[in-house]
Amino acid sequence: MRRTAIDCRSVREALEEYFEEVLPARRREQVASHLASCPACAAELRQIGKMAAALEAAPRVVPAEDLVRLVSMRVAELPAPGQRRALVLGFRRVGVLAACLLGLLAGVSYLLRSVLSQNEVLLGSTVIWAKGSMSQLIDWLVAVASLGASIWQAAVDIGGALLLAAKASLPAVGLYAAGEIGILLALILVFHLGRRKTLARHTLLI
Amino acid sequence: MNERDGGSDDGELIRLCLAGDSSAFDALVARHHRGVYNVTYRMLGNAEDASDLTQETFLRVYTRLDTFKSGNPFIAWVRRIATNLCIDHLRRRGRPESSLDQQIEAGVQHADATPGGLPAEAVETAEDTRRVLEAMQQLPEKQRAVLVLRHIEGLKLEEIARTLRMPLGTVKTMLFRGRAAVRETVGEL
Repeated sequence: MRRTAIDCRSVREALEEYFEEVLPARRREQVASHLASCPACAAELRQIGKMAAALEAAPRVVPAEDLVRLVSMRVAELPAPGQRRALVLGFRRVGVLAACLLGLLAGVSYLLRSVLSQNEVLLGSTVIWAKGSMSQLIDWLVAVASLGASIWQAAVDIGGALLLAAKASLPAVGLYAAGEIGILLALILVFHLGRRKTLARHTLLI
Repeated sequence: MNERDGGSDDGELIRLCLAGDSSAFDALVARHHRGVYNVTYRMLGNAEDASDLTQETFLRVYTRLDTFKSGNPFIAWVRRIATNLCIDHLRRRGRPESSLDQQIEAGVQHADATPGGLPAEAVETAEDTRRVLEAMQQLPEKQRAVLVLRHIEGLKLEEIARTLRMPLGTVKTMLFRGRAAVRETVGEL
């Protein structure tokens, strides 16, 4: 029977799966039938088998005798399993909770002060009493919020001053290009640092 | 070698270790370090890196031991950690030139010859192995990992997929491409 090039090409594409015995039954029969009468494809299958056999014949390598002792010594320096992770997570949770509480308090205090100051006349003596009782707390919280606002304003002022200085020394086109390059470099740096940190987690946690 | 080595299975040793018995972890290491070393050596191609990564594997196993799900095969979990560490290491290191260790190993293989020399067929097989191992060192990391797990560790495709947390189709693709690349490099065996 004359074998066409398409038959051989189709069979060779399936040879790896045929070797791994993962072809559907009908397809496996077709390939087996072709191999029985095609020396070239049969030779290709033998090469796959030889390569697999060569890898499987690789001798087991033996580690240095002190490997177990080295691991034991390094393990002795580590905290108990899970202990370090629990400590880090604990600190993180406390930090996140504290940040949320501060933000909530600052926001509530600012809102409360705004509401009270607007409605003092309308709500009369009740508002005056409430404001009087909590005035120290409200003032403290508003001071915290004001400090945050001051820091933000200072950052905006400094950033604006830098931009003006850059604008004075660079042409407009150069300024925009420099800005884009700067943002790109910052993103690359952040990505690189984040990737290094991720890889470092794969190594020993000491 | 720890006296517990023959008496307890992995699950029992893990339980003892989590309860604070450090000698139980020593027994786990003694039981599995050769298998892990074989994987790291065949992935990385040199003894120094293989030793370092084997140690890192067990240190990571120790720190994460409380997250291991009992009932699953312990060695599969350890093997996954070792393989992923090797893949990360290879990505950082890049692909090396032909490993001196492998050339030495080829010499050792021949040194194991019986008096009067190895049979011709054995010599040919050893030479084929050396060429194929050398070609495997040029593969991308994941293809190399799949070949090591399939042909050197003897895992089935489904086991490799579970070990590497990779779809079965991807494992097949990696395996077939890796083998094809090795055959192209080595030529006719």
